[in-house]
Amino acid sequence: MDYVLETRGLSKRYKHFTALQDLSMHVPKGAIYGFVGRNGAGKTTLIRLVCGLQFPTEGSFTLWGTDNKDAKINLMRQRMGAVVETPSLFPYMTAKENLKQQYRVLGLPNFDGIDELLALVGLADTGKKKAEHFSLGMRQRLAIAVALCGNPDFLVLDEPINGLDPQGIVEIRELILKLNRERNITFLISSHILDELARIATHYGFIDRGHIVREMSAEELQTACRKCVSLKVTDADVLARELTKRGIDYAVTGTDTVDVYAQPNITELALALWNDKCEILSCTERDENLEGFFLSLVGGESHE
Amino acid sequence: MSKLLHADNNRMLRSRVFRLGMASLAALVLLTFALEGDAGILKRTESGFQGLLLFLPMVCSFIIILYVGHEFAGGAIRNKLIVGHLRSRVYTSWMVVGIGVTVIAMIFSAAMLAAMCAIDGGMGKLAAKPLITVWTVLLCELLSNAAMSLLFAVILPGAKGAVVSFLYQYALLMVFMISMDGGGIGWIKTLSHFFPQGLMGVAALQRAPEKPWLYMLCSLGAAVAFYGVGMYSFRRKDLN
Repeated sequence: MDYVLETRGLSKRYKHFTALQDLSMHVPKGAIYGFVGRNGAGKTTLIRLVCGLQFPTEGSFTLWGTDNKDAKINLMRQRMGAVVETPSLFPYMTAKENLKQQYRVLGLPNFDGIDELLALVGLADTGKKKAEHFSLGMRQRLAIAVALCGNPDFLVLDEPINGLDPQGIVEIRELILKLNRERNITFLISSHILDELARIATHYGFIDRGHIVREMSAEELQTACRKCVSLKVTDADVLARELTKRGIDYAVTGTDTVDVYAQPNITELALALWNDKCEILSCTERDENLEGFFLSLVGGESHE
Repeated sequence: MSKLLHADNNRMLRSRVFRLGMASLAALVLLTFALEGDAGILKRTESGFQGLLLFLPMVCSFIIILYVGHEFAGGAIRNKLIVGHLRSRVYTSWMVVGIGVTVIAMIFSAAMLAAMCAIDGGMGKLAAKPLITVWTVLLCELLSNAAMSLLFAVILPGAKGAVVSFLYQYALLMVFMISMDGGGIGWIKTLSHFFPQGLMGVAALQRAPEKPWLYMLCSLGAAVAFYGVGMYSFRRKDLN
């Protein structure tokens, strides 16, 4: 698989605090990678390292296969854009002037495409209004427009919907989906608003205390979160055979546990199993969402 | 590098802090002329020059520190680094813009002073040679001041840096002036060669300081040292 971003054993230590510890993650090309973790888990630190704002203490990362210690990493960075924490704007400039400034920073020969970018993020009619007078949602959208200058292939968004009203959240979500589908832009989105992330992400990375706890695709997550009956039995193979015979979807999750993705007739199943000398020890119904799955991964206690 | 210079120059020329700085320099020249209303034209021009010696470094410092501080405060510095600009180039671009601001501010002040002097018909009374020497020394000292200001801007971005820079410059001024009053304490006298505040009391519009080349060498050396320390600090700095 082609990865836009790959980290290997990345660590970042401040004087008395370890923000990232041996972190390895993989962002596939064309994905919307949801980077999930609590406040202080290390999401923003990782993004700062990838964006070149801070330097790793140990480990490395690659952008399109180019190592961060390679001089060519700066060429790779020209293919990315980012909004880290707060929108990076000049408050005394209009939306158009902010984009023009970024065009100059990128060395683009003319200002073609600025009007198109403003229309894309829904700020075409802001005229001479300065960025300092924009609402938070407008500033966020303008920051995304700035990040889109130069047609990047990879966009990093750190908590893009934080503090937005419901309308703003919908607009940002639709914009991300549109850019991913129409321009094939790969996204790395950090967020702790999981329900929102679940609507757009194609891949997930769960981070806790500076470690990646688990990486998985949306399909894998969907499977993990499906409503199921978890059966603990004395012989999982016997149960699997019975379920296959009945055409019931299931997954063997351990030597004695099987997740059954349907509502089987428990009495019939129990009798069939009894004939094969297999006992049902427990039966639990499970219905997880992304939030529940995340909590089951990292535990419920707070780190703060 | 040219991309950054283009972007930085453009932003500087449009920035409020630059325009306010230039306006304050113009107001200062007019004020010094007005305060010496009854004195002769040479005395009034000299007062204007002494006022510039005092305020020009401070105004240039404010412009540079607040200009760079805007990038840190608004987070716009990130937009440069994220798209792959090297920190050394970002810093050098700021330095070039800082030098540009210094040169513009000096030329603007000199032009204001010359205009006021010419209105009163005093230009003919000024000798060209000491005038050129003094302004050349001042320019070198201001370059050291620009490099120092950029160092402050990176270590303490924003208003904090501007305040510390003001206090630092004021302290230097006081030390040099008090020291010169007593005929000059050895090491303080040597130190005065490196900073524009060191010209107070030893330079006048028609009188260059002794060994002007030493002032130029020392200040340019200080500029290079400040630039080096600032660059080192910025390259190692973790940004948010």
